[in-house]
Amino acid sequence: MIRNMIHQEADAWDLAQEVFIKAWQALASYEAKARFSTWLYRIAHNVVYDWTRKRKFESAGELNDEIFDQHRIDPAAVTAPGAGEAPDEAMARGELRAKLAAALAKLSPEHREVVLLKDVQGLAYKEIAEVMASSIGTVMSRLFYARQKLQTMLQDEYQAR
Amino acid sequence: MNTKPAETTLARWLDDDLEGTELAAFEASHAADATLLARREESRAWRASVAAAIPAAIEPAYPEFFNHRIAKSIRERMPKAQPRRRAAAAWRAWWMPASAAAGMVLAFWLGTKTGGTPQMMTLANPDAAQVAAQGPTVYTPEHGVDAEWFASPDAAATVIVLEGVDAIPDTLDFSDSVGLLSTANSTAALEPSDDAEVPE
Repeated sequence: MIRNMIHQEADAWDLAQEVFIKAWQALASYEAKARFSTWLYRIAHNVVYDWTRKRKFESAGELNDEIFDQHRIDPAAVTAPGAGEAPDEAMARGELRAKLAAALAKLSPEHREVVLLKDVQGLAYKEIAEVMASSIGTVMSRLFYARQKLQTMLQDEYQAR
Repeated sequence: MNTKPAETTLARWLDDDLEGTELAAFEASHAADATLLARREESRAWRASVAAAIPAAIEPAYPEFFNHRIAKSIRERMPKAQPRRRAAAAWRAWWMPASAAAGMVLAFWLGTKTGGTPQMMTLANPDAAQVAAQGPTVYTPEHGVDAEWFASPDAAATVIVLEGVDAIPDTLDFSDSVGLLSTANSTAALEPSDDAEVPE
């Protein structure tokens, strides 16, 4: 999730470590009101937004979306080859992956996060609301508009499917 | 009678977010609606294509190193417990700092003797400079090996001391590793020059 949120390989792994450290430190305060994974996503959300805020502050308050694109990870770079996937399918998938990643990067952090949590991580609306500290209505609204924007950006691919 | 489902309930059903009695109640009244079923299939197809394109989880390239850094950070941030003094280990009170200081002096002396003028490295990446200022992260994959490092900024030297490494066997052939150093200088140093006397 962090890697897809910030698109900077080294920083993403550093932040992932920070999440685990913060989780370990706050473990005593964890109450089983929410699932452990939801609690962990909440910490990841805070760490990513703190980092983003810090980066904005360091760039003299100017919001520069390019920081999300610097050192962009090649979206086609997969860690394990798809078993039995034909080369043309792999290429088509790689192209879609690249276009989807590029389109995701153009969304606002809130829209990007809600798509990642719902469509990639498969969280329920209630869990997303807990992670993002917002209401279910807000989550639904963000998801609706985020998907709409993504589908507009990926119109060719989406209609071909 | 209004048979249209509430928007939020519909959105949750389309995203397979309804469970239990909510799901049963919704499907009882809308299961036969072909338009809604088509929309749900479209929603499922979208989620499947996004999930297929973007991996939900990725293993770090070096998981052991990743975990080691987390464990190290946690150890560093933990409040340090007061060590219990033992009479038998009293010699350590002066022996260990003294040996550490001697090691640093030796490293400094070696640095001044072997190194040229220390050169300032300019790091383009400020994060990298910050990391360098904090010192290296020493990682030993073998269990039972302790590593300590000493840095001398004046000599631009860092000494890493490994304790618990297995003895190097006499049979180890170092010539292979020497062969890797195939720079012009090292080759010149290893091969006799034309002027040099070759012992017969």
